[in-house]
Amino acid sequence: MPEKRIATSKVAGTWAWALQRLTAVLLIVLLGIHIWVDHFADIDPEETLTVAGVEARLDQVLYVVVDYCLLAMVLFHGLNGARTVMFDFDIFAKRKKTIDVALWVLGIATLIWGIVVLFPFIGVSGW
Amino acid sequence: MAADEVTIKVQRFDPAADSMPYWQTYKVQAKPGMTVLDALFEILNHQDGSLAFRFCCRAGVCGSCAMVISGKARLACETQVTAIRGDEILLSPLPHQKIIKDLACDYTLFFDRLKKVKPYLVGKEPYPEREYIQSPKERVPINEPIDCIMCGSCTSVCSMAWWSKDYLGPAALLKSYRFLVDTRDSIPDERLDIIESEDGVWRCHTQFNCVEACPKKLNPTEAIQRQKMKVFKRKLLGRRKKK
Amino acid sequence: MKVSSFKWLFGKNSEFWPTNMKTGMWAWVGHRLTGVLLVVYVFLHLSFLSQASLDHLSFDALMEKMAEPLFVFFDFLLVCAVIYHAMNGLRVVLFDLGIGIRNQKLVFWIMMAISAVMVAVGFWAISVLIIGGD
Repeated sequence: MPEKRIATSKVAGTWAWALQRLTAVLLIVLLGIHIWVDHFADIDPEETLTVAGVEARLDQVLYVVVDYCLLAMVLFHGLNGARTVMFDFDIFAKRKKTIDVALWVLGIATLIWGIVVLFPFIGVSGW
Repeated sequence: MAADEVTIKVQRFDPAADSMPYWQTYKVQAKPGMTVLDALFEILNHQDGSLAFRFCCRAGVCGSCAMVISGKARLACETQVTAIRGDEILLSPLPHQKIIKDLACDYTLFFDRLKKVKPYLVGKEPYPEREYIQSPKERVPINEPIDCIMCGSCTSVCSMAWWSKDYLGPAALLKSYRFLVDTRDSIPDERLDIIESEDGVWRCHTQFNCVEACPKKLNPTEAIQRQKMKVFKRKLLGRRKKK
Repeated sequence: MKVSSFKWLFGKNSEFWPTNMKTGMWAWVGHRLTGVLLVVYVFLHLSFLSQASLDHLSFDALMEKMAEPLFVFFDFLLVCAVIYHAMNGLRVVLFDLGIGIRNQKLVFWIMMAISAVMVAVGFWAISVLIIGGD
């Protein structure tokens, strides 16, 4: 066994853990709101799962904020979770930096994608 | 078959001669109070002199005879033959260690991990004339972790310790905790530096395999969790200034 | 030591699984599996939404397809996975705060009891939605 092969960023370990816990708790709250508003809040049941329903919900600024926060947190929590899953196995742990960069790129790209995706629905009747 | 005869199946493996481990069956006459280690001696002395296993104190103090007994990590010297349910007793070495022969494993990795956490007391200056004084109250936090006999059961059943060879493992982290909370120790910051890593405390995902395995009924998971909190608090509040 | 991969995974003396899998380990395995599943779902969810932003009709058609029993069943499974992941995650957070480590099995079953209630509520809510939506 090599004498010392600990190449882990010490910062990542502690903050990743803390943020994983923080987002976990916030996700439970935000996801609760998301599911409630999407399916059960006082909106015409006929339109719950239609474009019109989506547009009606996204007219509320607060709900847009909730959705975007949810997206950011879910991406962090999910991708950081995936990172943990990968690094638990020795094979991936040797390529920590590459995987870190790849996950950040994937996360930020998905976040932008997710933000853009909702644009047509927010507050206007574009189409 | 006599009523008090027990069947013992031992996983045999000699890296020099065998390509795969295999099971060998022995029959031993059970005597009152017979432990699994006694039974192994019975086999060694009267049936098969080629059987290899580790032992030392025969009283649950040294941790040499830890092995997997019928699917659970236990100390052979503290397990009664009659206490094992089922028709036969299965004996295999602790998992995920290099087998030297039969039930004896190579503990090099285990002790390498242990050495990383500085498993010794670093005293405070000025050094006392005689011993360090510790009140009974100050001793309370280390009452439990000091009981660790380093048998290696916890680290060998920890799935994180299998996959990531750099992970310190529950035994080393319990040892680290034992010195971290010791009032006589003078390098808490250095100890936190060692364990503050993704191969330190953060690799633990509270599977509790170590707690299930510990023959001394210690709780390495709790020690690791408390150290996580200490590491996080230091990160949040900054290092304490040296006096 | 060379062992066939099947034996290595599932054999009598498998070195893949912990020797004595108990509550804590199973809880973790479930947490991992649901976690990976949910990450996949998030990307699926986003791609459905982007479908909507591109083309209204296909989104509405897609959602109608989603109302079919099979997909509603998948929905229910999703709800179960989310609830399990959330409740077990809460248990892990409790351990991180130093609560209940000595009684981890009890904490697990309490969390599972809460999850069972939530799953029942979820089942009821989904069935109401379907009946109400029809």
